[in-house]
Order: sequence, then structure tokens, then C-alpha cells
Amino acid sequence: MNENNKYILEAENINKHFEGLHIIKDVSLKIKSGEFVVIHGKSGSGKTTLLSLLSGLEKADTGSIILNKNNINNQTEEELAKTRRQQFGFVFQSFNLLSNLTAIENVMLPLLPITKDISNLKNSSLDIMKYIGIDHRKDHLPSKLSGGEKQRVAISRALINNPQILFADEPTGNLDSTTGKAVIDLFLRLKNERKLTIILVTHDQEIVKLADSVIEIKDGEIVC
Amino acid sequence: MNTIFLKAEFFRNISSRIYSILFLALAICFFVSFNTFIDGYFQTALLPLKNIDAHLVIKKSMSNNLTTEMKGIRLPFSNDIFSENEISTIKKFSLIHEINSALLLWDMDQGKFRTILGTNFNKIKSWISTGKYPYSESEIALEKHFAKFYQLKIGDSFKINGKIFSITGLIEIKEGGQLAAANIYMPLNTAQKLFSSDAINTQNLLYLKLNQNEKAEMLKDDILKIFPYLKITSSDSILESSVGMIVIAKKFSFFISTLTLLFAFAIIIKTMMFSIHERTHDIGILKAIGWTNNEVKSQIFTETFITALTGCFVGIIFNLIILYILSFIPINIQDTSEILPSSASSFVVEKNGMTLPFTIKWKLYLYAFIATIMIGVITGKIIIQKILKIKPSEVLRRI
Ligand SMILES: Nc1ncnc2c1ncn2[C@@H]1O[C@H](COP(=O)(O)OP(=O)(O)OP(=O)(O)O)[C@@H](O)[C@H]1O
Ligand SMILES: [Mg+2]
Repeated sequence: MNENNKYILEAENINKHFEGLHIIKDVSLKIKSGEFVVIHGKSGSGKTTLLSLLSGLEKADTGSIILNKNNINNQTEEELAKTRRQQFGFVFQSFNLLSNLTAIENVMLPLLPITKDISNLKNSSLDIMKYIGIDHRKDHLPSKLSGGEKQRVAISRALINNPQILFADEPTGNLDSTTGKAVIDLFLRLKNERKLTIILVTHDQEIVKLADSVIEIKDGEIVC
Repeated sequence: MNTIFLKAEFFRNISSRIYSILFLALAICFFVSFNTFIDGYFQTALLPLKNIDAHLVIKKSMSNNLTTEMKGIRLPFSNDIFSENEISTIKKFSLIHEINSALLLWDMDQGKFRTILGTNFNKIKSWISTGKYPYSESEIALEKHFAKFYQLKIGDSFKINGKIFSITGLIEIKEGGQLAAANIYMPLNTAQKLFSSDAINTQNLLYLKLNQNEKAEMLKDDILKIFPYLKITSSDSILESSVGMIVIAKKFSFFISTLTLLFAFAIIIKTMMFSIHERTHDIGILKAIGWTNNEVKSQIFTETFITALTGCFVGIIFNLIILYILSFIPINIQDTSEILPSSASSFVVEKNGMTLPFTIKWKLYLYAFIATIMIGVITGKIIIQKILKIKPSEVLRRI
């Protein structure tokens, strides 16, 4: 691996303001492919905002975000949507499953509009759910699942497009410690077995210890 | 648009759509039912004229009616004999295609009251259900129910004013046929002789058929200018006298029902808006995980459209049920110009109890359908504007 494609994602001097407040202040960072990166900081420090900028959910006011040599901060809304669909997977603290869809339908969801062969999509969804260990709940609606099960469905959904980077914002925030630990173990397994790059936001010190690299953020600035 | 997603969102979450569907269904049902009802009422009201194949029916009220003796053969209160001048003047109007005349008589026989119509009007002759229409001076036909009541049949003899007649046929009065309703039918000159041996050309009912249908009211006005005392029944006069409210309703029916539709649409847009508001979170998630605006738009647009179409479909079903029920309800359309002796009501031929001829009005369904498409498109467009504004990062921030 040469120096150039060692980094899968780079942020260069990104800034973000909300309602006149400077939330992300001139942040630059580089993320290596296949790493388990943790963004850590106090509440309100700007972790979620930074994650949104890196994942193209939000656009930085200035600066660039380079994904495989492309500056995604220049992309239009439609292009960003495609980038997210093709390159990224998302896991959130509050699971964000669609309540009217079954577990497997939720997993299929990101690719539904662009898939002709639905049964094929169903099969690959089921494979992922098996891998994640949630296939036995595939036909249940989210309301029938426990928090840990919901998060496993959400992780399966994040993997359906075979992403390069998995973004997770406090994925254990709504889970008890045992379940939370199982989810983190799952992330580590994904990193090891699938060489997935994981960028995870947390304020949990235990998780920080497991990271390959840590981005410490304070008042919108990286402190180490 | 994706069917898995559509099925899930539409059927598993039908409760959130039920108001939109019901509102639209009720509005469409009202729109179609109301217009069909008004239309049906009109058709029914016009049956009396249609069934005697005439545009105008003319008669002349008696000036001193109640003083005359209530015995034997006499003229009805509302049917005085036309003068030669009246008839010849009316005949001169070029708009008239055909005139048929009749002599309507009352026969007060030992406390029994019956009506006699003398005419050679082919249309009335065609009402014969069994036997044949009388043509000789000693023949008559009886109205079916009347004959049945007295257990009379063809070939029996029947006495009127001391004179013996033989029954040659039974007449079945067409629905709404009150403009030519009687108990006993006979050729015009038989009736004329019955009324008075020296009367030559006595007539007290004229059935006018015109060249041009739509000129009826004009001709009526023209005749009334010359003979203001004549009573002329036209389609308008039937409608005005018997169904005044309906006439007003008819004038505004399209307006009223369109207003209802618009009102319903406003509510539907509101409920759909609300449901989009509820789904902002879902839409934010879809966008976050990579759905493009177009994909979300077409999905939501299809949902809206199917909701609207379901509403339309349910509305039409409601309408069919209502029409079915209404078709059993008899309505009364009366010719109020008719005055009868109070003792007479029992034997005046059954003329009420018509039911409305409800027919399925494809045109109205088409209107309703077009309106539905419009509402679907309009709400869809508004919703799409809303969808465009939803930012995934903001939605995800809310828990
Ligand atoms: N869309 C927005 N509009 C206004 N202010 C915002 C917006 N998004 C974030 N902020 C503000 O930016 C700051 C950082 O928010 P952010 O959510 O990134 O913090 P965080 O580190 O994720 O906090 P937490 O640990 O509580 O999730 C906060 O003060 C927040 O109020
Ligand atoms: Mg946060």
C-alpha cells in the first residue's frame, strides 16, 4: 500500500457554522483504510456535526472532504445521496428503523429503489442478517424487537451496500452495557473479518480503549 | 417507486390514511349521489309528459265550478270545454307538430265517482295491455286496476249514465301517466255524445307535440299571452309546482357539489400534510441512507396517489350503495293543477309511487376520477416541496 491510498478519508480545514455559532473549527484529519476510529468528546463538543460532515449528511462551509481523491464537499445533494448509498453505512444511537417495515425490509431499504432483482436483494440481506446473528427476527416489525436486536438490524442495513466506511453515532447509547459490548464486538469483528473502516462517535472511555486511533474533540476543535 | 415499500407503508399503516380516504370517499359519494339524485328526480318529474309523448298539455279551469250539480256526467272542475276560437287559434301556431285532443269527464253514479277519458290519441291507445282500444260507439276500455277492483274483464258489459258499453280492452297507465289518467277510456266522439247529445266538437284537454323540444316554454308563453286563463302543463311547470326546492337545487347542484369537493380536498390536503409531517423522520432516514430526492418523491407521490384513488373507489362504492337504496324509495310527483272532489280520491288512478330512475352516470364518475387525479397531483406537488426541504442531518438530530 503506498502513501496515497492509505487514507480512505481526509478532511482539510473544514469549518461549520450553525446560526452564527462556529461549531467545527478548522478541522483537518486523515482516516486510514480498515481502521477503527473513535471520535470522542464531551456532549455538545461537535462530534455528531463532525460525523455528519465526514459522511456527507451535512456540507462544510469551507474546506474539503476527500473520499478516494474526490472532494465530496463539492457534490450536489443528489450526488451526495449516491455517495452515501454506494460508499457509506450508517448506524445511529436511536436505531432509526422504519416502523412499518419488517427487519429484513429495513435491511433491504437502502438499495430498494435501485434493485430490479428483489429476491436477490432479499437473499443478500438474509446473508448479512445471518452474519450479524439477527436472521431469526427477519419478519418482525421493529416494535417487536429489543434494543440490541434493533441495532443488529440497523447494522445489517448499514452493510447491505457493502460500504467502504461505516459511520456510527453513539451506537451503544441506548443499550445496556452487556448489549452495548456485544455491538462493539460486532464492529470489531466487521473490522477484522471484512476490513471495514469504522468511524464511531462515543463518549464511552471503554470503547475509546479499543480504537485504532482516537480523535479527541473539544469545542469543535481537535485536541489530539 | 417500490412495491415492497409501498405495500408496507400503505397496508401496514392504513390507519394513518383512513381519514384521507374516508374524506375523499364521502366527498365523491356526495358529489355523484347528489347530482344523480337531482337528475333522476328531473327525469321522473318529466315522465308524465314523456309518457304521453307531448310537450304541452292544455286545459281550462271552470270559472263557476263548485256550483254545478254533482250528479251524472259532468266536466271536471279543472277541465272546461275549449271554445272554437281557442282551438283554432292554438292550431295556427307553426311550432306545433301534432295536436291530440281529449274530453275528460267525471261520472257521479250513485255515490261512485269515476273518470272517463275520450280520446283517439295513438299514444294513449298504445297503453292497452290486453284486448284492443275501443273504436265503436258502444265500446270502452278500462284501466287495469279499476277493472280488477270491480272484477270486470274483456267482453263484460258496463253501464255509464244508463247506457250499456262492452269492454274491449284493459289499459295500463304508464308510470307518471297522470296527464292522461282515467278509469274508463273510449273514442273521443263516444265521450262527446255521452256528455251531450248535441255537442259536436267538445274537447277539454289538448296534447301538443312540437317540432322543437326546446321551444315549449316559448310557445306556452305565446299562448298564455292570448289566453291567459288557460292552464298549460310543461316540463318547467311540473318541476316548479311539484319540486320547487329541487329546481333550485338543480340550478346550483354542480356548484354545490363542486364546493363540497373543494372543501373535502382542502381537508384531504391538510390530513396528507399532517401525515407527511409525521413521516418527516422516515423521509430523513431514507435520505440519510442514500435515497435520492427523486426516489423519495416518487415513492411518496405514489402513496398519495394510491390513497386518493382508493378514496375515489370507496366513494363510488358508497354511491352505488346509496343509489341502490334510493331506488326502492318511492317519490311523489303531483300535478297540483288537478282538483278532485273530496269523495273521489279513492278511485283516481294510482298515479303516485314512482321511483327514481337511477342510472349510473359515467360522466359523473369521470368527473370524480379527474378530480381525484387532480387532488392527487396537487397534494403530491405540495408534499414534494416539503420533502425537498427535509434535511437528513436535522431529522437525525431529533430523537
Ligand atoms: N442544525 C443545528 N442548528 C443549530 N445548532 C446546531 C445544529 N447542529 C448542531 N448544533 C449545535 O452544535 C453544537 C454541537 O452539536 P453536536 O450535536 O455536534 O454535539 P455532540 O458532540 O454530538 O453532542 P452529544 O454528545 O450531546 O450528541 C451544539 O451546541 C449544537 O447545539
Ligand atoms: Mg451527538
